[in-house]
Amino acid sequence: MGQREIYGERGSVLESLKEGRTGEAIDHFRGGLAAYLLLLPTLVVSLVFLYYPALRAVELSLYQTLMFGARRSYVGLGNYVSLATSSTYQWSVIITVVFAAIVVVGVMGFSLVVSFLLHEIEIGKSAYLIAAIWPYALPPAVAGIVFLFLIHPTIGMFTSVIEGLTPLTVDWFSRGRQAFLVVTIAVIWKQIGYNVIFMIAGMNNVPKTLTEAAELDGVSRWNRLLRIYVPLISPTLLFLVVMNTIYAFFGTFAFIDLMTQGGPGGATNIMIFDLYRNAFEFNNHGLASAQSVILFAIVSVLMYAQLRLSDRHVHYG
Amino acid sequence: MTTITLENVTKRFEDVTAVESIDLEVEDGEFLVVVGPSGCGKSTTLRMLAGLESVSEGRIYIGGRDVTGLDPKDRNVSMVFQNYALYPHMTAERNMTFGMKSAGSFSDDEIERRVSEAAETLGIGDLLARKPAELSGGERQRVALGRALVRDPEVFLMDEPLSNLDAKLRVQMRAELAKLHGELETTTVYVTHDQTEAMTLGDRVVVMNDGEIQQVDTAQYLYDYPNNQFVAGFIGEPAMNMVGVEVEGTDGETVVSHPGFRIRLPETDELRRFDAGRAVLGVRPEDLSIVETDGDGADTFVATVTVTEPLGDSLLLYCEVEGDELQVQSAPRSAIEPGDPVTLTVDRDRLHLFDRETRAAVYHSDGTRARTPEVTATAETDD
Amino acid sequence: MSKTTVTRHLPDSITRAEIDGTLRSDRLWLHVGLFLSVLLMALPLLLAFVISLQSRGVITSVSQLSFDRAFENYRAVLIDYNMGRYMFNSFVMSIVIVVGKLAISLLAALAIVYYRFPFKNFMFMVILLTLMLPVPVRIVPLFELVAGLGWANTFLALTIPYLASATTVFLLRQHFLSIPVSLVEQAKLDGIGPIKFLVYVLIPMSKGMIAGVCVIMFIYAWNQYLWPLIIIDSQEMQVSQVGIRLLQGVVETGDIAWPIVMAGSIVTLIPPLLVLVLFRRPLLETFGVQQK
Repeated sequence: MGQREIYGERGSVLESLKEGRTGEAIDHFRGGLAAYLLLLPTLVVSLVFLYYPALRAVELSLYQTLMFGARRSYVGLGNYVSLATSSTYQWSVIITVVFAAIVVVGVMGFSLVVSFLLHEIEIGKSAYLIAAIWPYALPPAVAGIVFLFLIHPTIGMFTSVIEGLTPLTVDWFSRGRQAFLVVTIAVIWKQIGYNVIFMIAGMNNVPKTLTEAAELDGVSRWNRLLRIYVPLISPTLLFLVVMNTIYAFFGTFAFIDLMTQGGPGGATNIMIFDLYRNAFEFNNHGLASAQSVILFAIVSVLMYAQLRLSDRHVHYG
Repeated sequence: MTTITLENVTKRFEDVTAVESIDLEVEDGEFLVVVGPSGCGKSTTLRMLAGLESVSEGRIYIGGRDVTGLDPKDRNVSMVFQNYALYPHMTAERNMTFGMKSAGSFSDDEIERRVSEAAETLGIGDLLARKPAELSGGERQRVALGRALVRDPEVFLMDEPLSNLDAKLRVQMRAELAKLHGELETTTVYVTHDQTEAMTLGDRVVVMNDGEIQQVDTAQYLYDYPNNQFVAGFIGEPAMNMVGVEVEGTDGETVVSHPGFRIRLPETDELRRFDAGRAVLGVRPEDLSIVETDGDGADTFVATVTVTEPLGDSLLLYCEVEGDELQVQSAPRSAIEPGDPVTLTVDRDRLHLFDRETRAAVYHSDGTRARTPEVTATAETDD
Repeated sequence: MSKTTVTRHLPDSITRAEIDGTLRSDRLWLHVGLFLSVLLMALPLLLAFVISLQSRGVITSVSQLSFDRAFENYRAVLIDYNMGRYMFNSFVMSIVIVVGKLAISLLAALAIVYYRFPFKNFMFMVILLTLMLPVPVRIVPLFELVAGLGWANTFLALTIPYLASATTVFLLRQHFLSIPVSLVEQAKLDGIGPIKFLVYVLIPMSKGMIAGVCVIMFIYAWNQYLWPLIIIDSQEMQVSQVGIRLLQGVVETGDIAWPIVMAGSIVTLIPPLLVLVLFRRPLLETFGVQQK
């Protein structure tokens, strides 16, 4: 009977499930069978192309692949044991965690400053907004290849500038740390747009009266950002921490594939790239599946954290 | 001939009973208003009539046809919603025709004719090309009414249709609704929480509380002869005063006694049958008045004014008498101030007594019989 | 004199003081900071664009710039190096994913919001939990499955596995829930069935949200890299993201110059960027950014 006028509001996934449980009010069209017919396409695709392969990955992870994928033999948790004891994989895990941490801090720090500046100005706002969010559309492959070219050790335009202004030698095709840094910057660049969109949305939701009260009290802009906006948009920031981590783990394959191939010396061999190589270069499907299962565990923990920590956002794209 | 009959209609939501065993007859062409506080089951009752809510028990007949299990579209009813339920992306005209065209049982010419008729009746002819966002609240209301009208239904159902309008517009639309009903004479069930709306619009008014019908009568009868304390308190603004009293029979006279006053009651059949004892005295603020001198001391008493509320056409006094509060409607522009003592008297023809336990009316002092079934039953056993 | 003239030509609603106020609160340093930030973000792309118009990849001074080969570079990358074909494939893939995902998600959201059926919450959970199954966690079995179906090197492989979308179903569901219940009740009184209600009421009322979701889906589909890389090995069927990798392979053998690779990157970027710019309003609204 109550009107549901909740325009613009967004609930978390958990909230919406609670809603569903008690949501008596809506059952307007008859027929459970009809409902299942409407759900059928989504359910079929989900089961066939998402759930079945995921379960199959668990099964495959218990087998060892021999002769380039031609035969399989059951090894129980053997693949997991070899991963746990493999120094390459250990290194890959460490690299990935460090990489994700730097990406999260880097992209959020830069985006927060840009978003706040954007929020504070009036003139030219919509033009600046486009100029700040466009990397949302930037294909990772394009971002990777452009960076590869611009900071190419021999022909890159940035390279000559850097070498001219600093004593550094740009040599990231053979120096691990430099390669790691270059890849990280490219990865951060692509993710700025997504972060700015959500931060602006969060800041717009801060009641204007709070800003005005702070101005009357003579709170400086910088303090206003740190003491008012950051705490008030903390649900958005937590959401972004999780989404950026997921991006660093799963969305960065193209960068590695185009820029470093995991090298030099494994310096950028993040988990997803190692998985790809095991699966499709060495045809070690069992081992790769075990890596998939580990990645699933990670994404589950992240998503669970996301559901628990943030009440405000849905998972976009 | 479109009558509506509800037989023993009950609605339960999981473990909550929203509507408890309602029996109701709506006469052909009647404007029936259902009024009650929020959560009393009035909207649920209306929605069961529309078929938007299933019936847990009982049967509903519209025009003699059992519609209890029918889909809303098969009941030939139109409904006007509180928020108008206009489709925001369609023009006023399309809003009015969309449902009819879907029903498919009307020719295009017929639809066009009806829309222009309805538009003329409601004075919205020049608004037809506009979308709801470009209409004012009152105009949206008219379009929603127009949509209900074009279907030419057997029954209009209205769920608080005026409550989203501002006060002034509400009064205006109220009069227009009454006029419209006068012209169309379509059986109408109208739900509201506003007792003024109920009294001004309804041929008869149904007062509901806690999922049960308290009383069904014309507005004036409800006001004059409430069945119980709930109706007495809900109908009328400011509300009826209710004070706990002792009823004493002495020297062939019956007197209500309160630490602050004694009032002789006019004898009626009911009073003669009524056992002395505790009861609740009901008296409306306008039936209390200030007297300048002590008349015959028996029916006047002194009270102390605590608050004064000038209402323009009258002055509402909150008076305290021995721990009970009485509201008194007195003449405006008086010099009375809080703290002043006043001498009050009552209109002895406009007193009501209610049973303390059942809260049912047991006595109206002008001799009209209290209609409460329980009282009748008691009276019969007493005979 | 000039000052009074300016004042006189201002609309009544804007006073001198308000303009001064806006300018004062728009401190110059804010603009400088913001401008430098967005310039920094745009710089790599601007340089890539300039290079894509040159005949050689190494430019050390402005005097070396020459735009003679600008058109030729783009022609070469689109035709000689097949980028045109890859982009066509990307378009087909993205459009099919957007339309297909939207269609089946609309149906699913309709069922979830407007029907009551057994195991409703469980079914909703089944759809939502697909969020936890990005391509990498099922890549080997998915490859085996799709290859086993004989779909390798087909559009089926590029599109069907992407059609189920927790995000789209969830966003549509949230939006449908925000539509007043009385509208569906009115429809019920009028005898309007679910599909008709979807087509004539829900979809028109959700235009903005649907446009936003389509932008999200298009960009997501266009930017796919890993899955096409492994499931497509015929050049004819390849998508433009992997096309960039193929160009890179060619440039490393020294057969073509970097400007052509940059031209390939620019053309790959244009479609999603254009979609973002054109549909920024619904996109931002879908993401919860209120705009004035």
